Amino acid sequence: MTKKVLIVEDERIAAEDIKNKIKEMGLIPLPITATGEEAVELAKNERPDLIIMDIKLQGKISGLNAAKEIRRFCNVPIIFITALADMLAKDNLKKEKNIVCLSKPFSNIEFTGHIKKFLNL
Amino acid sequence: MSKQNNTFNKDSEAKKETNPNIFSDQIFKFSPAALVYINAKGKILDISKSACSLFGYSEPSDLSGKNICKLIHHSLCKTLLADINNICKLETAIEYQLVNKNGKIFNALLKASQLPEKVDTVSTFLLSFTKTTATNNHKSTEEYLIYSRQLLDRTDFASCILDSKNKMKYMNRAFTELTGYTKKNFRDKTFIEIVYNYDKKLVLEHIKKLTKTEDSISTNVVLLTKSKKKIFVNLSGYFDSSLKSNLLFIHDLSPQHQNQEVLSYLSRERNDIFQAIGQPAFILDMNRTILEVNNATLKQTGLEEHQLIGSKCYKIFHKKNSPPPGCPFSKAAKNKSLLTAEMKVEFLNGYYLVSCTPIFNADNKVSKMIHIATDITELKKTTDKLKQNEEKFRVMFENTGTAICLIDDNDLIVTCNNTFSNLVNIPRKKIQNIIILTSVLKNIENNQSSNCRKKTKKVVCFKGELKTSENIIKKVYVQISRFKNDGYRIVSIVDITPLVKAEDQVISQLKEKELLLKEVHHRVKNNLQIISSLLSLQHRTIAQKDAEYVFFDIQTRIRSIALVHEELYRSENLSQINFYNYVTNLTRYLLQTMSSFSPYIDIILNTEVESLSIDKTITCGLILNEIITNSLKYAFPDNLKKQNFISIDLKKKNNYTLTVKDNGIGIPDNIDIKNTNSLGLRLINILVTDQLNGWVTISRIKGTTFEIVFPEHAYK
Repeated sequence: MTKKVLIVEDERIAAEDIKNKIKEMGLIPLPITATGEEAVELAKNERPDLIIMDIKLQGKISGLNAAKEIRRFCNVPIIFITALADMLAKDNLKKEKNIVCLSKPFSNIEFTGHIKKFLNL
Repeated sequence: MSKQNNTFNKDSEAKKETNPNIFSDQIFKFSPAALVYINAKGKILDISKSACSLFGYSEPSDLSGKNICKLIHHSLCKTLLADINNICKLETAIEYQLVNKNGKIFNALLKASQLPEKVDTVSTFLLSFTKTTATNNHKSTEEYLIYSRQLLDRTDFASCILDSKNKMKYMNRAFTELTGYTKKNFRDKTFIEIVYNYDKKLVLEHIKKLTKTEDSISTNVVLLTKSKKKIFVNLSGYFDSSLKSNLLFIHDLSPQHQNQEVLSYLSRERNDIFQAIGQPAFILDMNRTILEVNNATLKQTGLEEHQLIGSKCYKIFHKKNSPPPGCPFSKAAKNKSLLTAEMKVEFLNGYYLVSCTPIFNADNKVSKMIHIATDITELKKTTDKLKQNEEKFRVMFENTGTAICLIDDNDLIVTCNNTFSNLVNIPRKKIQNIIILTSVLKNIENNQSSNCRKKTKKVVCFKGELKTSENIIKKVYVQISRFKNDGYRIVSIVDITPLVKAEDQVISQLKEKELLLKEVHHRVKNNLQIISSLLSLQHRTIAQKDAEYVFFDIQTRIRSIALVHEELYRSENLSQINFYNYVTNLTRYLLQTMSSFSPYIDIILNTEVESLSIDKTITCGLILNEIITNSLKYAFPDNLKKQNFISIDLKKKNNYTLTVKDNGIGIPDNIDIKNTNSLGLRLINILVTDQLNGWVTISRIKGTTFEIVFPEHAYK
């Protein structure tokens, strides 16, 4: 079965680009959402196989907090992408398995590499 | 010594002058012995020629009728008659002090015999005198001493015998009665010691004279009795060659004399005191005429007494014709009391402290004034200079612009300047010696109530807080310095509240700017990501189009974003964009770039909205870029000079409304932006719908109109 990918990104063009990339890899992009709350909802309902999430999001909860929420009910791998040079966040996340943090703008190779690893493609 | 013939004519005395017995008279007159015939009262009845010459008189008539006392030393006058009686009884001779015509005292041996007394006649005596020399002593010194003592004891005259060193050899009863001293008191004392101050020297000189010459002395002096009472006496004496000692006689002057002596003594004392005044002093009458001046006045003025006495004091000292103002004379006279005043004394060319003391007469009215002038020229100079300096310092103290106060060891404010008073908003009167500094000043650096009492350091500086009377806290910079050793410290306070405020403002502005800068960096990163994504998206369309057009598209898209940054850079604002300026630049650029497509298009721009957030501007910029590019490419294929235009309009009520309209041929009906292969249209769709959370309406009336509505906040 083709794997589903949840894209959580408030910068629409970047989201579009990610969506295209996912499609090219043969994966199914779920509807793009820009808020953490919606991300948690979608994660619950759609049970994606991978989540690509920006740390800074619109709305009340940040990407990190949304991820924490999601972690409660499932252990889906998460690729964080961020424009922020948030070293602290990155260090914290390094400890976690199933979580990776990429800095914008990211290279294609790095991006696809991590996806392949997480989804065993 | 010839024996005297005692037989006389009975009537010789009575008839002496009318019918002298020539023989007895001759015998008497020309007797080689000095004979004097006296009555019981001492009146000289007759005197021999030799007696005359002994006493230095030329004729017997000079002495006839005079009292024998004229010839006797006055101290012995009283006792003379008693002595004579004694001599007669004892049939002896005694040495007597006699006085010659010139007053010279000499000794002579006196013999006497009493003429037979008749019942009805008065006794008379015949005296004979034999001048003795120092060596002619019939009796030894001892015997003379005893005899003299006996004599002295009988007299009421206070007398004493002094040896050559003025030690008391003997004093008589009368002496003790007068002076209160006994021989015992004189064991170690000399006679001089009972003489009062002034007269000591005088007495010493006199006594010296006694021993050197054979002259007698007689002078009025003051003695001190044992009870320290001053007595005025006549001191007389002579050197007794038989006794080889000085004989002193003290005659207590009568009270009458005493008063005079007291007066003259007091007068002398008063003059001495007056002269002793080291400053110019003079006595004026009530018309300010100088009556008396002291030596110091003469010395300082260089004038002579006659130049001063009788003149008006103001004429001489002030060189004026009337008393100068400030002279305390009239006031002192009016108030009947001492008054002093500082005055310029022109004649002496200086400043003097002049005192005026009134002298009262018997009626207790002011009769004279004593003026004493003390030179205070130097003092005044120094005082004036001091005042000047003090004034200087006071001016400095008040005008430094810094609040200054002086505190003591207990932090009590002793003095403060006006700046300080204004700073704490308390009047000086209520600060000085009332307020303790630490009650209004706190040291905020050490976070303790300022303990200014650091004795180890001379200067202490810190930032503090000052509380005013209205409980306003002012930020201050404080410096406390200690004076050398007198316990006072000087506190300088500068109000740095405005500085601190400005500093805080700058810091907060800096923080704000830093935040904005961070945001800008973030935005740049973000926008680069967008560009990167656009490139990525564009990359997939290469198969459909010519690469040339692909690059063209991406270029304009990038330029749309870049222009936002340019506008940011140009404006002062870091978070908002002037929409009008931005769109003007964007459309200008597009026209330029796409001039080959449609050279004659007007761009009409209207905006109610002055500024827009960076996010929205970028999104709108990208949207406008797509719409206008399409318009320029496809809406005017004729390329004819017509009134072609593209109008862009941005309004805002609750939502923003961005309207882009062209009067071109109109977009084909079959174009659905929600379902299209065109990247541009797809971008418009996703940007409006997802990025702006708005919607777009396309109408095809008289060209093409895109109406895009979006809210202020894309997300709640």
